[in-house]
Amino acid sequence: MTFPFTELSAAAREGGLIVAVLIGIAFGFVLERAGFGRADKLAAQFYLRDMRVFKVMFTAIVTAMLGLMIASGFGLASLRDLSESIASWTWIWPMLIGGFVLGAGFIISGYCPGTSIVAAASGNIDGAVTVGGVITGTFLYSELLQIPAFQRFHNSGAKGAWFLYDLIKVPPQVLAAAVAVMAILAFIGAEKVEAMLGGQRTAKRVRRFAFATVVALVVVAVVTIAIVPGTAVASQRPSTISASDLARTVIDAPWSVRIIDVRDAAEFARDRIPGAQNIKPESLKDLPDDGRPVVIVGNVRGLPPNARLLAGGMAAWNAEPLVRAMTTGAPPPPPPPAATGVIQKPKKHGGGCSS
Amino acid sequence: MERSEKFWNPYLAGMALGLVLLATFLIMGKGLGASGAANRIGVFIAERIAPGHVAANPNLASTKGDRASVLDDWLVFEVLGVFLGGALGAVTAGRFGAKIIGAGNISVAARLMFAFGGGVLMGLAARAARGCTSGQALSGGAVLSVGSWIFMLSVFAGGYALAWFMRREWS
Repeated sequence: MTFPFTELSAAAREGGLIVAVLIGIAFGFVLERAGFGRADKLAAQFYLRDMRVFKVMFTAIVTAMLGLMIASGFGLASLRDLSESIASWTWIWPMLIGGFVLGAGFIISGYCPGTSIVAAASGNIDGAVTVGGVITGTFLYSELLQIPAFQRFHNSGAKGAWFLYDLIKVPPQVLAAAVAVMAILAFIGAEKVEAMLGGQRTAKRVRRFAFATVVALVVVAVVTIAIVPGTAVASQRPSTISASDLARTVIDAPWSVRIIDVRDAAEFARDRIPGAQNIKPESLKDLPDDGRPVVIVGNVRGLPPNARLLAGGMAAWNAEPLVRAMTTGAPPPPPPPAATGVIQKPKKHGGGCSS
Repeated sequence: MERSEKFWNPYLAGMALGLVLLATFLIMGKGLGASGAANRIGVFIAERIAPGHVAANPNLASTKGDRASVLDDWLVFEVLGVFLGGALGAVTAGRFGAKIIGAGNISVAARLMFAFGGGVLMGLAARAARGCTSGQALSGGAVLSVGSWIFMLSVFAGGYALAWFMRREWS
């Protein structure tokens, strides 16, 4: 695996932060040129006058998706490791409802959080006010999380790292090809709707160029399945364990599994799985193998061969009914023979992560 | 067409955005984002106004992690870049200047109220969804995360569901 340059996010942190600013400048510049600094251009999407938001967003998604498939197809990056590091885990209910509320906020304000920053940078006062609203909203959410019922909603439907190719069980490249073809069909549909409503259609030459490029990338991505053996198979390896499976193991045979928690010491001190051992993510590779399977708690890239990740992390663990039963009365499980340190019952507490 | 009304072709803009996103994936091993930085800026402001309140709420206190400052995070720097890049784009296209968009049919006060209220809703929603249109829809969508696609389809559903009620603002 060549990418990513991990040294940018770890050792040479300052260098990584400079790259972050440069990436941001490119992101902001392209958004501005796409017309996304203007509320009227963005809102037009929802009246079908100008489907700019849809076209730009899906062309970007398809381009990056195919680029990633091709890079991993040629062995430049590991698709699953990189995807797990990029995407957050899936929590079905908060994402479904959060999406709807964000869409509502989008049509009311005329911006999404990212484009409101570009609008503010263009001198649009309404954009700057939206930025203020977004900051206020993210802050208020931390207050809402103090309510136990809201905390339960926040952690509901935890699925861990979950990708469409796990759900539909096809090679990632094939799924990417299908998404790209559907996007092109949707673009053609969008052009037809715009023409019907008297809007401006995109120049035919540019449209043909864009669609032909996407089709060419699809062909390359699919061909990598044939030329690079093992890419499709390797990326399908399920590497997670569900909270309920782990809870059952911890209750029935806690000595049979080794739980390694890679979160920082403060989080570990606050809330942990009984018998878990806290180590730094970078010392994970030096962990002596004692023959037992390993379950990792927390965010980590590149799992050791006999290790699985706890799907949904501590949030999923604390939301698990078996664990809740354990913390409210039932005796705690016996400690594993090798474990040292205090065994503490997990407290009800969720990991609030926002990417 | 006036110079300030010239925008890139949406498909070409999309490809350019896709390449920026791909570069971010490969170089940083991360996706693009926006709302995560908003959250950190909010906690940063609160630390200055009411430090006791931040310390008392673990959801706020834990934002910092093991860093010295809550602003020491890649997303905060990326968003600083978004602001600079957006300003650069607007200045070079002749679109830079103080103005209020969307107040043609409604009063300025109403427009700013909608801008703020919509922002609050989006801030809340982005925390629930663990990301916004940048972090979830764009970045998570491109790596085919199931949650990101649920979120993305839901965003469009929410926008279309409320479009009729907001038609005066945008007509």
